Amino acid sequence: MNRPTDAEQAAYALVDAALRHYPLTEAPAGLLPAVMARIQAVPTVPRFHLTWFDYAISFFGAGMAGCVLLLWRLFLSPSLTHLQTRFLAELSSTDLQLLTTMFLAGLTLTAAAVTVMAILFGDLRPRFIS
Amino acid sequence: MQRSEAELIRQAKQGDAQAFGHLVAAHQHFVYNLALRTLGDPHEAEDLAQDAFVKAWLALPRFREQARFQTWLYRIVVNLCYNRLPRLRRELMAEGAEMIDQVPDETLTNPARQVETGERLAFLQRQIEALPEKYHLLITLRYQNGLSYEEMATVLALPLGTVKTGLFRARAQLRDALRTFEEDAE
Repeated sequence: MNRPTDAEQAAYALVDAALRHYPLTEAPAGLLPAVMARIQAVPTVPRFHLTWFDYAISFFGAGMAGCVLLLWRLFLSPSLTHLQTRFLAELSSTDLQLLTTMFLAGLTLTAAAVTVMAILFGDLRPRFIS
Repeated sequence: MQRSEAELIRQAKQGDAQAFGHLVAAHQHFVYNLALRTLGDPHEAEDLAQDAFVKAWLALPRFREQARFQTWLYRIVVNLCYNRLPRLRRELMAEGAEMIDQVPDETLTNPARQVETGERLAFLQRQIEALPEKYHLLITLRYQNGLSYEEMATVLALPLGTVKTGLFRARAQLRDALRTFEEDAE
């Protein structure tokens, strides 16, 4: 890169001085009140978030369910197997298809309910900037 | 009690509108001037500044504090300017980066050499007003808002070379005008 001549440096120095001292305009007095009025008017949407209590109750519930299943498996599994065998024996293939359909419908309904909850209680603020 | 900007940001993120009001008060001058220099109309600039602060309020919960608040806020302003003047970003992109090696560093200029004749400064300030919007945006971010080249590239979503080239051309245009002015005066 060619170093600028003395005259050029002086010219750039003056240009930079002019740029630095270019006066700023005062912001309008009404700007701050207008912004405050607008943000107060923004509807506050309840935000979906989990507290420590939600985690605690979830772990407790899951733990209890796990204990029940474990106890069932340890002490009642022969009866369970017997019941399962009898139940399946009485089901025709049509019933199995119906059960599968009901199971999938249940999953779909659960997913839909979760989506609706997320839309209703989730963060609806626009994601225009990271 | 004076609260630090970090503290105000933290409180505003939790929904404290009063804390956000302090942030608006601290930044409104630069936000308004950035909008005014780019759009050239006081009413539009005020409208854009309002929109920028409202958008900042809404997006604040997602503001990650790795970036400076000022840089993040200016990015919102610049995005709104791009929305209002769609050609602005295209024009800035068209600056290219081919002159990056010719950019004289501002630190090379020696303040002691400055001959601050009021007449020449006044002339230059009139020339600054006549610069295109794209250069107004660049020089306001650089000289009035004090951003580094890297921060400017982030705010403007442009390559670093394009930012430097744009600034070089703005300064060169002013230098050429000054040369003509001096030649005419002699």
